[in-house]
Amino acid sequence: MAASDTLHPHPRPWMNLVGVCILVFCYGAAVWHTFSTRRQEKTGDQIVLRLAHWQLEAGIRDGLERMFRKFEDRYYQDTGRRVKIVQNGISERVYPQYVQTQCIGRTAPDLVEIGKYDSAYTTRFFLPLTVDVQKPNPYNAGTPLDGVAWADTFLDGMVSSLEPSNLEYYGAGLSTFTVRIFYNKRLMKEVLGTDEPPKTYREFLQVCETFRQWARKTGRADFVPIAAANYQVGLFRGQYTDAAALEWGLRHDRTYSGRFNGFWERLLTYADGEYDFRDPALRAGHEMLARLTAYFPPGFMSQDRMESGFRFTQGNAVFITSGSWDAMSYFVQADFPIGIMDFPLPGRDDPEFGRFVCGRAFESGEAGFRIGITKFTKHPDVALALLQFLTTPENNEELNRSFKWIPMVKGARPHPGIAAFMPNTRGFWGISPFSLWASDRCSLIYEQASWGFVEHKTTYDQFVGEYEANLPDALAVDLARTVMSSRDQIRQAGTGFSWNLGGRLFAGTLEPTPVRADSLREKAEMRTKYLWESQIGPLSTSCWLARWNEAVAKRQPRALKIQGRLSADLNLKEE
Amino acid sequence: MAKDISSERLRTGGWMLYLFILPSVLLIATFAYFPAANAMYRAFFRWNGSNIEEFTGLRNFRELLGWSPWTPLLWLLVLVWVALLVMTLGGWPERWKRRSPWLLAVLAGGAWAVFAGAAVMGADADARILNLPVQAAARWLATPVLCTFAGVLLRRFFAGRLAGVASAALLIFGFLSFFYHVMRATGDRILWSGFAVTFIFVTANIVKMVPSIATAVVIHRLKNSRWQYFYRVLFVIPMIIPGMVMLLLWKFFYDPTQGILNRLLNSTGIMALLQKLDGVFHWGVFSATSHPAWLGDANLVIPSLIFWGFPWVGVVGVLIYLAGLSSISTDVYEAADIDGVNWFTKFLHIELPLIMSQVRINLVLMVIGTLQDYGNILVILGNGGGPQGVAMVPGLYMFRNAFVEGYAGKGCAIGIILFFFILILTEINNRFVRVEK
Repeated sequence: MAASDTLHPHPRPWMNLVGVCILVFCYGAAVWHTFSTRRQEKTGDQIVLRLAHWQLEAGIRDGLERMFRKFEDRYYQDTGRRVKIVQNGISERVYPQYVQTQCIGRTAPDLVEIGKYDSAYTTRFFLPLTVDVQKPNPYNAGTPLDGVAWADTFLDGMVSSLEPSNLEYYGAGLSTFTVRIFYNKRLMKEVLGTDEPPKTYREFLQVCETFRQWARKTGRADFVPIAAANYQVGLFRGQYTDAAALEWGLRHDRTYSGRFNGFWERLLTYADGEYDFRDPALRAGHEMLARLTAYFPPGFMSQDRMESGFRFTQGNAVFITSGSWDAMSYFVQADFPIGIMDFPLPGRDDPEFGRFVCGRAFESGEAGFRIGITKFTKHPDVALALLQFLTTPENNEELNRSFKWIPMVKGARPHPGIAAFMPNTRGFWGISPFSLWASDRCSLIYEQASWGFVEHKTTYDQFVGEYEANLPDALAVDLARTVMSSRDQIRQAGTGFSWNLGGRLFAGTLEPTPVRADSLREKAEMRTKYLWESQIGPLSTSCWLARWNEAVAKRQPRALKIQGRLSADLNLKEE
Repeated sequence: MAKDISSERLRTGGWMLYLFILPSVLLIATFAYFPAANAMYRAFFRWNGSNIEEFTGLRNFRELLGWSPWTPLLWLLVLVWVALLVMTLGGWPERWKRRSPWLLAVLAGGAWAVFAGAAVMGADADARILNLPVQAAARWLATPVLCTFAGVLLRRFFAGRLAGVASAALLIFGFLSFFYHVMRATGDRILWSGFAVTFIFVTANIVKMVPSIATAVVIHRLKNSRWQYFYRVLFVIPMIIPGMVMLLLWKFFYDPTQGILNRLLNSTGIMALLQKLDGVFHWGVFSATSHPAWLGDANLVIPSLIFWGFPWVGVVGVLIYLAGLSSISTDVYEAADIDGVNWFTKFLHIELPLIMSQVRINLVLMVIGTLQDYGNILVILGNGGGPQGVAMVPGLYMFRNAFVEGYAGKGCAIGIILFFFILILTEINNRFVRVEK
């Protein structure tokens, strides 16, 4: 025995075991809980379905729980089988990683909210609902939508669920979302004497200025007219630059899609010298945005969405913009009445911006909160029944009213408090000239250069100068990525074609019975068809690349500048 | 005390000992060496982090380091510059001792003359070398040349330690400035701008080591052992506060409207002074109409990140220095007291030399940490590098390439470049930060 142990024998040696006992007990309890739950799921009569989503705003999970209980009762009445729906709310920040690791590990829940993660996972790990969306929703029996194809009961005809790469439908959207401006009615009444919101852009600026003066007079140093963070800049930009650049976008729309938001459009217009931020329309859009950011809190670009929401609900701002997804949170957290208004645009008579703005833009009302069924579910029929149950007019209305969102199904009415969020289906087609992809290099340099401009640290010309100085490098990076990505898709599809062609040709040899051979042949044919359809993207890339090669061959200075920065050979021929 | 194991013992029954260390070796190999080796391997691929993988040779490195017909010449210039710099600073070989500084000056001057000459003689503003107009290239080369000339002249005409240090600083800065401009012009502009920011952070972090050393010395010199213990505990407590809490506290500290910093500056009148100075120097940062946005202004974000954590008393650092200080024998202090040595001389000639091992290890850890770190910037400013991308450090750029843009292979290549920088800086540290035994 060591000398130190002899000198200081431990007074209570059993104390050492306490920690071990606690550890063993906790571990045992966890193991017991896991296995008992698994056993219940496997052997019990009850079917358990799990749903993962990222909607953690106030009231959403409670609303879902109520609808799940209603579905469980209805399903039991209809089939005599017990079902339990369990929801896993996952933080938005880690949601992509969660879904991707769960899918790769083949442990994904039965139902998963589609979005945030790489869209390739949807086609790979989710069940297509293409056949089901063409049949009527059985839960609509006896309603005005009885006998109507499920897809046609949605406001957007389920276009949002269509995956263009393989023309399959994945998931069903439960709500639609739009963006509006929330305002503090009590403050409006107190300072302006009325809670009527401003109607035009000039009025909006005037109201903001009045509130700024009021804050100065009353010594409210923390008060700003518009609560905003980096997140809100994108929302305002989407409204004002879109409004001003509508005609500009249509003029340069090379895909005839009614939009100017694709990489190839940006690249080729740049090469032709048409992509110029000094154009008066683009300048006007950015200037409109900058006039508003003058009423944002200082340093808003380094703040996040939670901070701006907190500022508004604490009464330290009169306006905030966000989507209908935040309505419930603001209603619950604020102790003042909240009004909702549309973005006030300049009228045609506005001396400065009027000539650029055609009016309100059309809102497509695309589906959000889209729930898909994963290939890992053991009960695809029950999962489908749940989606169909949630998308009847009655249930969709009840669900969305409970958390104050906009219903997605025809005939379902929104909560009266958020009627202002209903999509505006009359107006000009939105062009989205600045819908920048989060992951591309052009969006990075745009965000970096525009930071100083929206914060009023640099002028518009300085911003454009900085952006254009870095644009050739960024376009070269994005061009290489786009072409390489298409090449990868073609290669992957090539393997798929060979595999399925083999299945089609040798089905009789591969399968022992004629029935199974026919089945294999049929599957191989179907997959080949889908693979062929998914080649649209890479084929269009080939066409665009030919256009790009023309620009280089014509020795257009901007095209040569980008070409000089490319490290990869884009026209590499496969051996 | 542990006994040495004889080779005979290892041969006969030593396999059991190997068995004991086997789990550790396996774990380290699996979770440390394998990922590192794998990252090195992937750096030569176009890899998206999952299913797309294509061997591309040195393309990732070519994109990051740059490749043009001028590149071999430039790298030759860089290598000669480094060789002359090392010879000048090291003072060897003996027969080159006097010549090498002048050769360095001639090299820098010659490089500048070529660019300036091309700018004047060519008279073609669009002529481009290194992706830059020749005139611009001649302009940016002026800083390294002036620094090198000043360093050489200082070394030649002034004696003394201070002149030596100043000369070395000028020569090193001259080279780094040249290297930065070359790499930024030929290679990936974002990456090399990031290295410049990291250089600023490393320099600032060296200064930020001083408060930890000072605090450790003050605690060490406390006569009362109870108080000494109390302060040691006081320094351990912050270790249990999660880093994220500290981060949020500092973010709130910098908040433009509600943050403590702006309130403090306003209430003490410093803000008014800064506004006046801004009026004179035209920084465009401090104005009477709005509060400075410390983390939202491209001019303020780097100083704010440097100021982060003031007074920069690192908990781990203090404990490491204290461990070193506690091993100094009391006899040394008694002898110093008898000789009438004052408190600062004690620090300079007794304590600092005897804790240089600890200083060196902290320096290495700091350099590695600073070059690799990007977590705080990612959380505070996002993956775009903050206002105008000024805080896009190499680590953050590596993260963005790998996890946002899907260029995981390129991210691995950035990791390798970082690895080499860390290796070089660690070697410099080991060679030049001398430990008195």
